Amino acid sequence: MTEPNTPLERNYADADDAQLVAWAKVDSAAFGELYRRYVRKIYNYVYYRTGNHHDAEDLTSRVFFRALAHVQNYTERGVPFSAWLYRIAHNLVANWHRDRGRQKIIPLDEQITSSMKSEAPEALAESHEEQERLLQSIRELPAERQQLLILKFVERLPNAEIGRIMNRTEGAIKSLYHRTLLTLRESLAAQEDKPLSRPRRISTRGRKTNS
Amino acid sequence: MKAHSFGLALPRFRNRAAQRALQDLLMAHADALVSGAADREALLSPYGEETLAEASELLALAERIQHAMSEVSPSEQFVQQLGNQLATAPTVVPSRSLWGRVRHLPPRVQLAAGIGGATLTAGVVLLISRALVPGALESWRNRRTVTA
Repeated sequence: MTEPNTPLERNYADADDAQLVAWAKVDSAAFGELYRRYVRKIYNYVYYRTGNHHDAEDLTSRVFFRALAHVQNYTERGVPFSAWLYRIAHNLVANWHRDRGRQKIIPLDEQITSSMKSEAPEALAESHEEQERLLQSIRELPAERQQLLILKFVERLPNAEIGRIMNRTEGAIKSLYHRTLLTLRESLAAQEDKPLSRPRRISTRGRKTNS
Repeated sequence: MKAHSFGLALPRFRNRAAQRALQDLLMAHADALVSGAADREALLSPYGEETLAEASELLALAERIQHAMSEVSPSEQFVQQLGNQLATAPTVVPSRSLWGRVRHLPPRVQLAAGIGGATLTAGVVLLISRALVPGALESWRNRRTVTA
């Protein structure tokens, strides 16, 4: 079987990431396919790190423009394209936090109200408060622990891929997950005596996906 | 003495093994949660009571995290617009200047290049000064001889 040399002969949907990256160096349609595969994942990642849809859109755009600008220089070297994209996103989010010097905020109301519509009002209020405490504690975790929780629970990635993205072994990922849970448990216990602080900014653009 | 150190090492080894068992259990539980097949009873059955007692609170916490961190989606309009912008964006990266390229090198490479460059420059200056002014290094040579 011969390698397709012209864009017209290429089957983008069936190609793997490595093949698409090789094509993307000279073919914008191949980069478009990579974009379609990863835009939602990167958006989710950025959203949970920044806490609002507006900044998530802005940073997601920057991630893909930066990837497009540097895809010429990308060589695999054991790091898959997805890991490369997440690293770009991680760096941009870190810069964003540094530049703004503010806390990460997650608009909880839209998610909580949409995920608990069927519950009774009393139960809803209680669960709402509990969930807000939990997300508040997650927002206070170090960046790499937040990243682990996002990759595991939102992106649903296998441990091997999380390890490649975070440049750690699977054993180290397990250990980090354990320590993250322990820290969260302590943080929640400490919060029980403190009054609950509200997020400073709440997004009104609800886009929860039922999954 | 040996028996004493062995007695100290054994609990540490047991601790480490218990920690590893706990970490395996927590990660297996998280995997089961995200795949939507969290059968807690089946998952916990191979583990001892000590591990289970320590894990139960953390497993409940993981379930709360999974409930709180649901997937979000960007708007279709945003996805479409960004896709169009990327499709029409120029893919050629403007070439960096020499200084721009040096700045992006790792610090140790920059340091090595700096030392190498300085040594080379000093050598060239020395050679030129010897060639152009024959007596330029005479006083320095004399001082070395006197010191020796």
